[in-house]
Amino acid sequence: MQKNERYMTDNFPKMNFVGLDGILVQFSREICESGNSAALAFRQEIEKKNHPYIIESSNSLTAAYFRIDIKIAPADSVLNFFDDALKEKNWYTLQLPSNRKLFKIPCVFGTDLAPQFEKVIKLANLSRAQAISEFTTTKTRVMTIGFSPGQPYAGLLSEKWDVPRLAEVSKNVPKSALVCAIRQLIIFSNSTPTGWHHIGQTAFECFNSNRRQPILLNPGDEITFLEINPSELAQIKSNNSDGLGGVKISEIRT
Amino acid sequence: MLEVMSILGFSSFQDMGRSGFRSLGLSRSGAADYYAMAEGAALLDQSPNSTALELIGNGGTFNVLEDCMVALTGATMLASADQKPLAWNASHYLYKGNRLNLTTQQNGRYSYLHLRGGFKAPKIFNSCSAQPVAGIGEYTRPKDILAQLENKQDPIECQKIEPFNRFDLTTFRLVESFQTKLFNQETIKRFIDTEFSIDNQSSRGGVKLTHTGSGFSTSNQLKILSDVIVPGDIQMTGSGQPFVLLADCQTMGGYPRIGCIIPPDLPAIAQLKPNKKVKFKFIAREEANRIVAEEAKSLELIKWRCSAPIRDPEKMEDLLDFNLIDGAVWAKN
Repeated sequence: MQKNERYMTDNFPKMNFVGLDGILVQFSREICESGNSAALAFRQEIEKKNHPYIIESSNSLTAAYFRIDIKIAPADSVLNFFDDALKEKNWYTLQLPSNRKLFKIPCVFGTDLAPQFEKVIKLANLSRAQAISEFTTTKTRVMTIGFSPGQPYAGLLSEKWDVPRLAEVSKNVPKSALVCAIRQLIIFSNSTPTGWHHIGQTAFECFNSNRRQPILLNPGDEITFLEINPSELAQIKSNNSDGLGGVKISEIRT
Repeated sequence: MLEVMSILGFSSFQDMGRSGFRSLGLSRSGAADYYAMAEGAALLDQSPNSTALELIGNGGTFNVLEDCMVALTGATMLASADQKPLAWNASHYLYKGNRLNLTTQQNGRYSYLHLRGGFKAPKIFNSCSAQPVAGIGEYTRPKDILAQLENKQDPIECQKIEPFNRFDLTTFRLVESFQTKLFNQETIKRFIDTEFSIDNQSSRGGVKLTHTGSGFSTSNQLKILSDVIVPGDIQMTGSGQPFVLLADCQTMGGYPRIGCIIPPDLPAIAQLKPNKKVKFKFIAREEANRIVAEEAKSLELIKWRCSAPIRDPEKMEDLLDFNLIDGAVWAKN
């Protein structure tokens, strides 16, 4: 294996292996917006370099992942290439891309449709009105897309929302559910078992193959919510073949 | 061209999977057993990425609408055309009006029906692999028409193939991954000393493992940041129960991964039936890279696993009813 100063170190940015054929370039241990922007920018820059051993790449919250074609060369042969790229600039101080969008998504908070809302606001020590005000006024950034097609991980909520995931997985949380844990929000692409807290229900489909663009959200976009009641949600759902769920999309001017 | 009469297990179109879309949250997908894809391709003289029908848990019945050539690979099934047995790990001509019947998986969970020219299936994000739970493609259902993509005119002869040995592996090789260090030495030692059982709660996304004794966890496990997940990862859920992640696994997740099964061992664990016993061992990355290189070489030489063309397919079908006389057939050749 090649010696490399950024492999197996405690200082960020650092590199690590994902299985046999993956390399993860990590920009921070804790979730933070600067680490997230750095990871997004680094992956974008590496993609432009068209390295012949890299098959594909993606972002997680604070890291960039690259899959190496190990039929050509072992993954560690690419470590120095990443190391050189890391030295090119200060990745933590870069601006987010300019073509970003704001998604305002209608959502029912609590009720039978989202049974873990009451428990979570108690954990976060917030009243119902305070909690809903946070969801309808703060804009959370899509930090990454992952888990399943088009599914956003958005954050960061204020520190009160630093609640752990559930130890016991809930059997089946429906598609388009709004869930939260550790200062982040997710809208589920599909129904799934999960340890995240089910706090809201939308009709927004992160992935819908009937649309010209099956996946609308991109990292860097922002999400906020419009509070609606269950009958309004039912009405939206009655005419939702495009899966937009009543979302209003606008350009973010920077 | 075939018409589905009945499907007894789960079945969907699969190729070698999609690459380049994980940044949009799309899983790699593709056949759970890529050796079976390579074997089917060798038998039919086509690309391993040709779309095949993957049969999980059981088979089905198909009406042959047009003369065609098929190959049968993966977990062995009882196969017949109009009640005449067909050999597994072999290619066969089927004729209009035949009824193809595939049933009773014997040594594994994933079986494959390949069609010469490949099955015609919708291409979504550059792959024909279906992942119905993610809203991509559908499971195969009765009355579906399974057409071929390419009309290959040049005749080729029926062959048999000596399958890659993957149905009786009991120790699986892992490499360390970026979260291995989150587990302490004692937990890792207990993990490699433990014998696990394959649970029946398994899918194309992952295989649940059960064991006696306490679960495997890291400190502060429920607050670890969600990060990249890849097929082969062994993930510990909230209760410390391990899951081996397979082709349809999610692209990100929060439960920590203790290690990652090396790619050549992945089809083998996918194929294991419930209650089979497994153990794990960590190997060095250098050794894993060597194993991958050797495997790539043996896949390149796959044509050598095909037997000499069978000259009289009609007669051959009958002979292969009785596995005992395989030796006699070989002796004749």
